[in-house]
Amino acid sequence: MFSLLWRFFPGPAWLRAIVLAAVAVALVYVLVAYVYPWVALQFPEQEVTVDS
Amino acid sequence: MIGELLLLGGIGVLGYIVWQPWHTGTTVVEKQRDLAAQDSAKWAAEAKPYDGVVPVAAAPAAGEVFAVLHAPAFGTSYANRIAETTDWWTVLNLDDKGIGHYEKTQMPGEPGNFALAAHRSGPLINSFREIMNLRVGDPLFVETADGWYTYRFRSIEYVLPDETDVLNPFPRLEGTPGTDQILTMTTCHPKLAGSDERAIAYSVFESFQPQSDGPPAELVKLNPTMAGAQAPRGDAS
Repeated sequence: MFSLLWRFFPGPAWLRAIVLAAVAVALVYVLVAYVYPWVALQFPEQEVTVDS
Repeated sequence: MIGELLLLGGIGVLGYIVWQPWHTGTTVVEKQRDLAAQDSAKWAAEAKPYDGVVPVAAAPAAGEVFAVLHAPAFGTSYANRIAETTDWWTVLNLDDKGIGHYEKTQMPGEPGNFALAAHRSGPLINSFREIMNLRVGDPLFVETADGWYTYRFRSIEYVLPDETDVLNPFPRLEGTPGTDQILTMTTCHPKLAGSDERAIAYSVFESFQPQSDGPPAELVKLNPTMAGAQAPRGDAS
């Protein structure tokens, strides 16, 4: 899969490295901004109150 | 191919494990600090003259932010907003509120029990994460539009979730309120493994300082950011 990615983008090696780094940064941004906050909501919440 | 996908998935899960403490420990804490500073500045700007009687905060509407808790024991610059009710999705789980006031308990400034609840762990907001850092004599400052109510931490205990008498006007005792003013904080216990029990921290009211006098000297000493990072107070505003 990593070799497929490497062959997917055109251009010289240094350009591919830059493009792949940019893709990785975008992926991390999407994870932090959208995916992880959504995952956080899927956990069962902890009770903190004494019941009335 | 499958191995590489599993590798990526593992890195993704690892990323979540890194992200969650960073989110609740840094992002949300800073957001609360900023929101609290805005509230402080607003209250200081509209400070009323003090007539010598400790004011009782007016009962707010459900979900409304009416106070800020400053607790240097939870972190030097710790400040977290307090809103009415202990409902999950209107107060406790929201990272712009986090601490909820039990509606049936009393307010700061009147005899009785000012009881609060907040999360101690979890991925959303952990306002009471450092509750076990409290030591006897540690100050807790509740700031409202009227001023600063200073409480002194006394003790902590573990109870079962149905022991509601910790919310009594004097915790654990039956009867009408005396003259004591108690701050009770409830949160989950154990910290990270479910919530079969509750940790309950008690503090006793000590003094009141009107909003027009600025933050208490003890708070500024423990949390130097209170002196500089906030909007100008008093005459300067």
